[in-house]
Amino acid sequence: MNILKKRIILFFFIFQLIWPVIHFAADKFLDINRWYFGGLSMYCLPHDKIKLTITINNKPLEEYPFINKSKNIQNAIRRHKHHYDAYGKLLTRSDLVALIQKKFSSNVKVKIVTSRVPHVPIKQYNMY
Amino acid sequence: MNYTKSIPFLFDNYLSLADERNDNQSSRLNNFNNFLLFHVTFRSWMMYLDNQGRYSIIDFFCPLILTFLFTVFKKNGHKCTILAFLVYLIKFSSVFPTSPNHYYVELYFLFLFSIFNFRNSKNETNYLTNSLKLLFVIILFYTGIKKLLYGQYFRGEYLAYLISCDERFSSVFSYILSKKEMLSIKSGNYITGNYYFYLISNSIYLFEIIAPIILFFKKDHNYIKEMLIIFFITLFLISREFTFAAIFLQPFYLFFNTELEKVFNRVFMLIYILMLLPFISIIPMWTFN
Repeated sequence: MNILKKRIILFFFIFQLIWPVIHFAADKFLDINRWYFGGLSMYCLPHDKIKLTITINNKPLEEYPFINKSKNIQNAIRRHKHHYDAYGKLLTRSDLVALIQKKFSSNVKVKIVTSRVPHVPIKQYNMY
Repeated sequence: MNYTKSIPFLFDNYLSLADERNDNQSSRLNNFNNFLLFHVTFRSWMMYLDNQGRYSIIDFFCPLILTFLFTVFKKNGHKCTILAFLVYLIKFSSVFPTSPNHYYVELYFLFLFSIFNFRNSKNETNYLTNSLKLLFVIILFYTGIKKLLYGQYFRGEYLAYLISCDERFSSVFSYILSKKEMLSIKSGNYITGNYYFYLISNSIYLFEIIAPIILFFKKDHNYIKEMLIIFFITLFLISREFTFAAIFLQPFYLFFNTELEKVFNRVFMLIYILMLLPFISIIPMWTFN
C-alpha cells in the first residue's frame, strides 16, 4: 500500500488523539464556544447556561416573561436549530423582544444582555 | 523519515484490529460505504427541508449531488465516495466552526473511505477496517473522558439539566426520581440527592472509558461487546438520536463476526423514511418534536 496513505492516516489519528487539547485551547484561548465548536464528543458537554438581564427603559425587569413551549415555539426551534443564538432552542432575540413588548407596551425600549454562566448548576432563569 | 515505523505503537501492534479470518470484510465494508452515502444524502435533504427557505447555494446543491452520487455508487464506488467527501467537506467548511457535531463523524468516515480503496487489495481492506474500529474506540473513549473532565456527571447535574428542559429524558427518569425530585429539578435545582441517579450518571462515563480500552486491547472480548450493545440501545432509545446511532454504530458492527448491520440498517432505513414523512406532509410536522 502507498506509504503516503499510511502517513495521512497516521497524522489523522494523531489529530484525533490530540483533539481534546485543540478543543480545550479553542475554548480557552480563542474564546470559541465549545458548545458550537463541538466535534466528536459534543453531546457529553453541557450547554452553557445563559443568564439574561432584561432592562426596560433602563430599569431591570423583575419578572421574566413566561416562555411556553407551544407548537409555534416548536416550529421556531426547528427553524433555528442550526443557527442557535443566545436563546438557543426557545426564541430568537427579536422574538423575545416582541414578546416583552407585547406584554408591556410596544413603546418600551428593551435591552437584552446575555452572559455565559458555565458549569454552575444553580437556579437561573435559563433560556437555552 | 518513515513515520509508520517510528510509531509502532499505533501501526504495528495495536492497530491490528482487523479480523483476517473473515473473508467477507470487503462486502461488509461495501455495505458500510453504501449506508454512509445513503445516510449523508438523507441528512443533507433533511437539513435542506428543515431550513424552511433559509438555505445557501451549498445547502441546495449538496443534497442533489449526493443523491446523484448515491444512485451511481454501485458502478463506481470509490470515486463516488471521494466526490461525496469533497462535497461534504465544502458543506462542513461553510458552517465551520459552528458545524454540528455529527458532521465530524460523517466526514471522518467519508475521509477514511476516500483514502482506502478496499476493493483494490486485502491490505487496504484491513487498514480501513482497523482505522474505522480505532476511530470508533477513540470517539467512545473521549466522550467518557470529557464527561470526567468537565465534572457535570459526578452528581448528575447534566442529566438533571436535560430532564429539566427535554421531555425525552424527563419521561424516562420519572421512573427513577420521585415527583418531588422531578419538580425540584424542573425549578432549576440540579442536585437531587438521589443515589440511584448518581450511580447511573457516574456509570455512564466510567463505562465509556473502560469499555473502549477493553475493546481496543482484547478484540475478542465478547462480554464487553454485548454490554456495549445493551448500552447503545438504551442510550439511543432514551436520547432518540436515531440518525447518529445509525452511523456511529457502523464501525462497531465490524467488531462482530455476525453481520449485525444487516438487521440494524434495515430498521434504521425504516426510521429514516418515517422521519422524512412529516416533510412531505404525510404525517404532522410536530410528530418528532
